[in-house]
Amino acid sequence: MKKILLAPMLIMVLCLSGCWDYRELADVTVVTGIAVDKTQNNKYKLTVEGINAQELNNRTAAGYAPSIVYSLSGNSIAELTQKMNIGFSRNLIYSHMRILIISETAAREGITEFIDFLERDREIRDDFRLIISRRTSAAQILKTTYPFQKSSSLKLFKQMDSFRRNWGGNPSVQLNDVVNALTSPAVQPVMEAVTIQGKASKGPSVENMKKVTPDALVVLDSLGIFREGKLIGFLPLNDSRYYVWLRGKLDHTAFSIECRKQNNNFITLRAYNNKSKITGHLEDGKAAFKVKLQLEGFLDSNHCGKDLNKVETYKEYEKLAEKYIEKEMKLSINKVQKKYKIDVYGFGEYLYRNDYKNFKTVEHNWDNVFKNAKVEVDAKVKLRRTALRTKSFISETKAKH
Amino acid sequence: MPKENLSLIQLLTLTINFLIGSSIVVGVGLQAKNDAWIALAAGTMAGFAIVWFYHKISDLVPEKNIYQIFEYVYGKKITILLSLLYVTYFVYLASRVVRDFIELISASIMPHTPIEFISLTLMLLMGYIIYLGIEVLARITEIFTPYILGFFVLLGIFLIASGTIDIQNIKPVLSGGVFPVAKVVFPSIITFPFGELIAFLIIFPAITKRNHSLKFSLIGVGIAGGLLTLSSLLTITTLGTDITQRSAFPLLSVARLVSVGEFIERMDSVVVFIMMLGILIKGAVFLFSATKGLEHIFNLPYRYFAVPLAMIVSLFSILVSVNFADHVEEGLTLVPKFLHLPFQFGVPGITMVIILWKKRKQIKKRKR
Amino acid sequence: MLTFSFLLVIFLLTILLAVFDMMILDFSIWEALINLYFPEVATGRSFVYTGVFFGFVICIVGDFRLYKKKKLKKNHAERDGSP
Repeated sequence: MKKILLAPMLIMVLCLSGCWDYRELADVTVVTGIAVDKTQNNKYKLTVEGINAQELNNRTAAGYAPSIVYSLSGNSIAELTQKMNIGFSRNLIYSHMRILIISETAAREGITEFIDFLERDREIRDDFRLIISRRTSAAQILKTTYPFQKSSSLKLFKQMDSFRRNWGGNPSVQLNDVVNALTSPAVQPVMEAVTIQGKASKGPSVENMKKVTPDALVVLDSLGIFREGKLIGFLPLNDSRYYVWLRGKLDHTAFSIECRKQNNNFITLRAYNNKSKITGHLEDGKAAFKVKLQLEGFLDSNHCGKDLNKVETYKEYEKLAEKYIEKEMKLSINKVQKKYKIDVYGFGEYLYRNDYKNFKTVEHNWDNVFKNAKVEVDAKVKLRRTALRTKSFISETKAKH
Repeated sequence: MPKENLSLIQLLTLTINFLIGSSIVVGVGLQAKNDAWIALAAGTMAGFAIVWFYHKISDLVPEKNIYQIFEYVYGKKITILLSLLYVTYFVYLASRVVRDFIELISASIMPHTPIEFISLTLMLLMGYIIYLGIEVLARITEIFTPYILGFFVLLGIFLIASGTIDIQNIKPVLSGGVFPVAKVVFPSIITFPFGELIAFLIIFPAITKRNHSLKFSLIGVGIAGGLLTLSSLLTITTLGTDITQRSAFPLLSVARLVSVGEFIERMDSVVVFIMMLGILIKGAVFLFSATKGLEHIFNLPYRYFAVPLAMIVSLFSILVSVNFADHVEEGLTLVPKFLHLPFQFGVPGITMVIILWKKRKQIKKRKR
Repeated sequence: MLTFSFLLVIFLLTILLAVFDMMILDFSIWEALINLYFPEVATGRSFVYTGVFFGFVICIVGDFRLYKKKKLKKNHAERDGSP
């Protein structure tokens, strides 16, 4: 009996390797970025960047193009991803996708339709960045080469990560952030926008990588704001930093603050340990918020020539910085309130979570309530040290004359 | 046939795996939105009561499984009918559990592999395990449970480390009051997973130290309930309420978010391991219960039924539903009402009342 | 006996599933049965039917062996009883 059973079991073992979903590594092209554009005839134009792995490795690189970018038009992104073999030779693997670029025109008409596919598909992860291409087509961004990462999507991914770490100008929006914001009653999604500096037409070539100043360079531009899944405008990078701070994602940043009574002289405050806290309440359909900001920092440049050996100076600079930050943050929030009239910061989310019953009454026109909400900003700056020098040499030279 | 022996630790691990089983795959209490964890914690409390109730029945008629208890209470003919119904119930549940797992695998890992094949391979294994006996199953759980607990801890640590957890997501707590949560606890969480412990009425007689078994099964329910609550907390805090509710397999979606230093990424496989083991145990326990029923009816050792029944489960795991929506809808609307409530609480409740009544009569007789 | 139990369980489950399908998909009993066993898309369904057939064979073999054992026992009993 046991011997008879052995034969079918051995046959079973042969089938256990999962042949149906089996893909050879040599049969696969890794997709690092995709771009979505609007076309006139079809709903979308999908552009895919498949990397040429040989070129990314310095030892095996032969000077060919580091990646192949191919576009196709159709009515659904999901179908187009499977149809890409019209141009590509190997199976495309989307699980290592780093960025998704949406063109400005496509974003203005709405992003909700294809976000569904991205969220649903099993192969696509959540760890890619969503970006808007401003003043240029999304495909063009994917095509622009860069000497270090070679593949433009890898470059953009790295660039955004570094920028967020050093200056905090972009929130590094991921898929779940967008979906959560789209479905939440009290907050609206944002995405960072990029654009091409220089001659865009010269971007898609290996020559572009060989120049000290590339002919075409992808630069971060601003922060795109959405209402009901449609792009309505852009916030400059400076305001985008305050957005990041309010959302609690700011790592490090630097402020240049004008000294008192000395126009065009600045101190630079390098900030770390940035924290923000929103509190607020709702009364008779009117909202009032208090934003508490907290940061620690050190002085990185001092044009003002005050004596930095004294506690007094520290106090003065802290005051200066607090005032500056309070003013700027308030301006930034007011700008969004007046110009775009939507809540991107999550003020409503705070009310939703902490004052659910009251919030329910204004939920349907929250953006209206937010427009008229009073926001107070209270910053606390702790200046800890002044890098490697105490007194600035500037004050010494001035003393001589 | 020789009596099988299970140790108390094995009972504990069996209980944990059984309860985690398919409930962690599809997620329980999701209808309670961001209060799912409260619902689960409350459900665990109810789970203690349920386990105590089943244990009590088993205590009243010692050394007998549910079918023998029926015979003791109802006589031969009704017992055969009841046993057949219970066998059907258990086979059906096993099929559903296996289908849960198939859906998970084919949606997340192997979309092109025919689901029939996944089911067949899994059921051959399960049939083999039951053919070897419940002791083997118990030893499997004993070996693998530490891994499951370890993986849970790992998952939690990695999620915290990758900074995806936002504790604010659990607010507002009890936004709609207690009532909506209570509605989820009863009948949803009570019947699934805790009420399914009815299958343990067949396992209880095999335990060697009966006087401690209640304590250990209570601990098991506690640990499993804790893990389920923890997993629902993890899903809610990482995914947010909305995405959690829309996920077909919440914990899997959570594991996909793990990313520590761009080095440890995507813990899918770990979660699938937890789920696979849970499904294997749960399916095998149901299968064992069904074979025991057939053993009682046909008076043949249950091992004879193991492989054929496994094949039946494999067939019906495919036939049980046409598509995923059908599967979920059936599980949410029909099964609790028409299967769970009568088989988990109706019949055992009536049986218990009759047993108590009989005992009292006996005592009265003796007194006379 | 094994074969009988095998068919019985299949029969009972078929009824249960048919009833559920009737309730959820608004089928009549015939539609439900047809839907269960003759689906339009039957990719790989043959695997499971092979499996079930395998189980059926095991049942018959088991029954046959049980029958032989019983006969042997009977023979023994007769032989033990005869002298």
